[in-house]
This record gives sequence, structure tokens and C-alpha cells, in this order.
Amino acid sequence: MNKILCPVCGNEVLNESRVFEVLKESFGGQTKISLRKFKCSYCDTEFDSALENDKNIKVAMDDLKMKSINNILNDFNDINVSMASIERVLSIPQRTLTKWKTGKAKPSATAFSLFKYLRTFPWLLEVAENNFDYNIAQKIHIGDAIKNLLSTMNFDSCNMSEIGVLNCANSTINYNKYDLKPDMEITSITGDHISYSEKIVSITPIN
Amino acid sequence: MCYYSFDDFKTACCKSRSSVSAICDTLADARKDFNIQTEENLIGFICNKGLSEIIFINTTPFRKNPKMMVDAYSFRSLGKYGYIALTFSDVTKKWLIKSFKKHENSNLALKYAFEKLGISKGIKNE
Repeated sequence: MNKILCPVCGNEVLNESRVFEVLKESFGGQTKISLRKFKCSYCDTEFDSALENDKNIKVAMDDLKMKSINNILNDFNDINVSMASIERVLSIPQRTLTKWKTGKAKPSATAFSLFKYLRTFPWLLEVAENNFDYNIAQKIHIGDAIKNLLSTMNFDSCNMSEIGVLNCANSTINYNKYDLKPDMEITSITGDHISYSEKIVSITPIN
Repeated sequence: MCYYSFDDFKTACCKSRSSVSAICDTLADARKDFNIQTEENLIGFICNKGLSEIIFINTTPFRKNPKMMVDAYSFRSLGKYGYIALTFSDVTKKWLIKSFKKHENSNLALKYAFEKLGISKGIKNE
């Protein structure tokens, strides 16, 4: 075994210590690992026992990645996206997904990145289902953004200064803005549908 | 003007992993700021042209050994601005990465323009 020397001055009298570091992986949580460190007794330089630490970090990160892919597939299950539908749109065999889920096989770095994107933007599956048609993809993207926006708005307390309608036709997306009349009242919102009360007298397009 | 040749450093990263070492908190910062987990990944990243828009900042003596000089550079990797400091040990014949982290000042163009005019001085990262 090679003797560890200070990389700066070559001194071999080193003080060894252990430090704890937290490693994180998106959707996989975090883990605490112990790393071996040295401090040169002559020049005071601190450095890692890189080969040993690299090995331990790789093992810990692989473990977090397996947890991550398992959580991602469970999350899809929670939002009613079955493995069968993932197989259908992405042509990834269901048995491969099951092997990842049960830890019997490790997804490649490419597959792992793809699934992190899909977990962040589940509507990408819908894009795949529509054969990656650019115009349809844009509509799906905007539709999802609007859905998210609507879910965060409190129409009872928001002082809405304008209202608009998105209109998709002939590969273009138009936003028609209307003046909001003081006698206009939103009475209910169900999913994507907004209902207004009888108080609406008129709305005038301004753009 | 830089003390060492950055190209020599990069060549060393590509040629032999054992001729380059990360010291101080370099690896912890690389993990935290750039998601580069290991020393092998860091050296590979430098070798594989991971750093773009490399701009020399300054040369300062190495605090642990004032006979050695440290070259500091800023760089960009996708949307992140970074800071790298390197030196070379004549004793161990190793290139040493003393620092690899997120640059504190992301508006570098403006900062360097001010520095050239003598309005702003010093880089906080050292």
C-alpha cells in the first residue's frame, strides 16, 4: 500500500481525522458519510484521502440513486401513472422498471436523468405520447403552467386587475386580455372551468 | 500575468490523475457548488473542457508555503460562475487544486471593468 504523503511538502507525518459530510440526491433524500482527512504536521495543509473517500462517496451516491428511482416510480404510481403507460410511451420494458424499483438492477446515468426530468415535469410523458410534436408539446406545457397558476390563486381574496383568455389556433397561441368590469363577479372555479355570476354586463376586448 | 501555464495544468489532469491533487476544502466545495462528487470526477471535468470562459484573476503567494505561488481564475460552467485556484509543488511534482467553488461575484464583466478602471480592488475568494 502506498504511503500517504503531504501533496504540498512531501512530509509523511500527518494528523488524521474524520469529518462527516451530508450527500444529497434529488428525490432520494440525503445520507451522512464519514470522510478521512489529513493535516500535514509540517506545513498545515489539509487534504483528503481521495482514493478511499472517492470509493465511499460512489457507494453512498449509488445507494441514494436507487432510493431516488424507487421514490420517483412510487410517485408516478401515486399520481396514477402506471408502469404500463410508461412502457407504452417511452418503450422502456416494464420488467426493467420493476428491476429498478426492487433494486435488482441499476438504471444507467441517462435513464436516471430522464426519470428526474419526468418526475419534475410529469407532463413530458404526455409530450412523448404525442410523438414529441412541437406544437402539441407547447400547448401541453402552457396548459400545465396555467393549471399550476390557477391552483395557487385565491380568487376570493385576489384583487384581479385583468382577465384574459388563452386561445390556441393554427399553431399560434393568443392571449386575449379583457377589461374587468366592477360589476363582474367570479362565482366558482372547478378545475379549468371558471363560472361567472349574472352580474356580468359586458366585457370589452382591449388587445 | 499568471505564474503557471493553465494548459500545462489541464494536460496534467488528462495525462495522469496521480499528478493532480485537491487540497484544503476543494472537494467539499466542488460537491456543494457544482455537484462534482469525487476527486476523479473533478479532474476529469477539468480535462474534458468543463470550464469555459476561463479568466485569469491574480497570482498570490500560498499562505501555507509562501515560496509557492497560487494562480486564481474565474470560469463559467453552463449558468454557474466558478473560481479555481491552483499551484504546483516542486517537492512532490504535483499540481494542486487549492480551491474550486462558486464565484462570489457573478457579475464578473462589470467587476473586471471596474477593476481595470481602478475603482474596485481585490477578489474576496482568495
